[in-house]
Amino acid sequence: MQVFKSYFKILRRYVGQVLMWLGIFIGMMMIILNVSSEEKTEYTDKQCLFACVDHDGSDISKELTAYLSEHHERVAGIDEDKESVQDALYNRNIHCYLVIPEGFGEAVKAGNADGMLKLMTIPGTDTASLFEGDMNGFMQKLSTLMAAGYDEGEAADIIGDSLKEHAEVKLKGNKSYFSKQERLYSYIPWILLMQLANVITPILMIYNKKELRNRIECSSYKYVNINKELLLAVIITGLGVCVPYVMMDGIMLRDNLLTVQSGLYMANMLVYMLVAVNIAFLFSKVAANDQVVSMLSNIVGLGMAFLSGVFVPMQYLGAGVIRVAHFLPAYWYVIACENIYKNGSGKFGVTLQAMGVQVLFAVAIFMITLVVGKNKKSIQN
Amino acid sequence: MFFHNFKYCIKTMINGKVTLFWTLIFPIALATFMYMAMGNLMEKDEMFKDVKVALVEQETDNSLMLTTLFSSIKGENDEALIEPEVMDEQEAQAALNNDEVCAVIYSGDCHMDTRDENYKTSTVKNILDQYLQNSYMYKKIAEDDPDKLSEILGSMWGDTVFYTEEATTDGSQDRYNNYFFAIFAMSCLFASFSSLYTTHNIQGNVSALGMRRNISATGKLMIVCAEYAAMLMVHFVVELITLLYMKLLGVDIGHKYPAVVLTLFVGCMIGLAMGVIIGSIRNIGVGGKIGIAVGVSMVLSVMADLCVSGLKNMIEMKCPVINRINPAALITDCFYTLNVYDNYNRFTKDIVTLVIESVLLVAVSILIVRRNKYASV
Repeated sequence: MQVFKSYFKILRRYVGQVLMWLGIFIGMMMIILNVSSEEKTEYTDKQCLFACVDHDGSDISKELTAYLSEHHERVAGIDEDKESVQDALYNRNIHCYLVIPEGFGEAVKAGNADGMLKLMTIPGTDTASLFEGDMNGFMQKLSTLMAAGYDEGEAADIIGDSLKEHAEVKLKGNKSYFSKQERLYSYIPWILLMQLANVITPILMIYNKKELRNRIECSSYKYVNINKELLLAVIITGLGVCVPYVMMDGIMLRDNLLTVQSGLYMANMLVYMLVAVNIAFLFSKVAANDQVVSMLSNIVGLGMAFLSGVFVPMQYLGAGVIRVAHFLPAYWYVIACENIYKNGSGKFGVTLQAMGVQVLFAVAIFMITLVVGKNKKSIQN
Repeated sequence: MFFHNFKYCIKTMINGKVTLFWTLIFPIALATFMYMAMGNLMEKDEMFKDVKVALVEQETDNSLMLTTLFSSIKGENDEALIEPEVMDEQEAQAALNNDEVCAVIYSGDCHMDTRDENYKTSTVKNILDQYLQNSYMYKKIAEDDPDKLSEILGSMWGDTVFYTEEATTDGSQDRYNNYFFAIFAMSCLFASFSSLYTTHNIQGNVSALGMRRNISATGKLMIVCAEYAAMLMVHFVVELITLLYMKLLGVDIGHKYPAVVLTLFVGCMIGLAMGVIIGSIRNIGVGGKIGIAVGVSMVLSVMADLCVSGLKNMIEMKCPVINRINPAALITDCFYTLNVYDNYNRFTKDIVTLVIESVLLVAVSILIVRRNKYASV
């Protein structure tokens, strides 16, 4: 097992790389998992963030702001100047900024308050539509009731009573929601590829150096044994790199580790690990030095992550991008993850099919690597 | 001698493909991937249009009223924002499961089925709520004073709009543009890799080339000035290529191109100045210095929204002084202000800060490396 041992001696040099990527991943996961919301089974209305300045101070304007504050979230501390409002809107600190001008209450009573409220927002957005509809609906009701002879207080009371009338909503699943476990595992294709490519590839490149390879090949050590030991070492490295993620699953998401779903997630990760190992193997045949490995791994890793639904959920990707993604192994990994989350062991065929495609990708990449390696060797010789 | 050094520095940079990869190819590739994944994200995620709902007719039928109500929700150009379609229940549920509609509305009691809890479904629900609440209100008025009902009936579903919607800018409000601005910032800061080598290579105690240069007749200041000018020119051209590519890709960077070009020029200056100061650190090998440059550039760029949108805004809320001095944040802020502001006040402040930071870093670096004598190396 000399080659096997020498591999791990060289590997020590790259432990820092593994830990660095692991640190980056843990940091990212802490942010992502902290902002992930809990899954809801009952529907609740979304609230808009709004700021408001009331120059009128009339009973009507107070009723309006009270209604809006009850149904949406009022944000304080944003000045009325254009740039402050602009910054707050761009960063989505608020969705709307309402200015109630002086004399608004009187204008409503007189029936000529059309277009008096100034609403600064991002036109055409769903938040603007919701807020505008709600605000205008309230004002229409209020003015109608006042036209019917009720005063502001009575009108507000009737509106308050009318709020008991609302449409019942049945939430049938929540398609935008993904569990924390799904989020954790869905980032694996990126991190696994970065780690394995930056660790395995440089080591394999050392064994590919002409002088070293010639020296090994002219020794009494069998060629088959060399390859077997390298293969074993590479797979052990892959498994070793996967272990922290299983531990993260266990530590960060305690309740889920011993479930069928977790088993399927792990199986999917191991299948993708084979893909990543083969990509690393391919890189070792085409890269000239460590810097080229870094370039290749960044381009391939980030490219696959963006195009396959790792960084941006698949529902937001365009149809063209999805079509391209079918030719990337990470896409099938994500498909498997989504199916495991939504159906657990149900619809197992979909998960199995996605894993099968990944295995085919691994085999195809392996074949390509052999061809590239053979051509390179013949050129060198 | 100035032009000799200038020319050879350019040749060295063009031959040194690694730096060109990280400053040109990598940002272009990253921008391409990001644009493919996120170029249309605001349109899909935030805009309220083409909202399809299924309407299931029931015995107590409000479907005609609801169809009219939904169809009356119009956009800026008078286009219908919600498209109601009458379906039978089975068909409607299948459409909901296949994401062809965002909600199924039952016309009898106006209840609604959905698979998503977002602003679009909330808006649809809000319209239903308004309908039910208005019906309640009519009944109430009719009970209290039936004569009033006929008087106000006309005004109830009238077109009274109490607000005037106002956009605060003509520029793009797509916050996902921040990612592309941050790519420019990262690319500018990656210019530090080039200047780092240059400063490293004029120090006799850490580089073989430095030893050779220290015994030559050419002064260090001349070498530094020539090489700095060459690097600035190459990186500026690289940034212009990236800008052109992003424009062709479709990234919205506004129309104030002279100011955008100035931002990139000053961005390259600060990137190079960072490299100069890192390169002048004594007793650290070039590998260590590259590590520092990568780490600093990446951390500053991530803080300017390179990886997580909203991080810069969070820093602005908690500790704004960081955004006032972080060069990457200042570069992205220049792009932002040019895109959405109609004046140059904040842009000028950002540019001046970047220039001051560049001058300070280079000045400190000169103080560190000037008049160094090496008795033995």
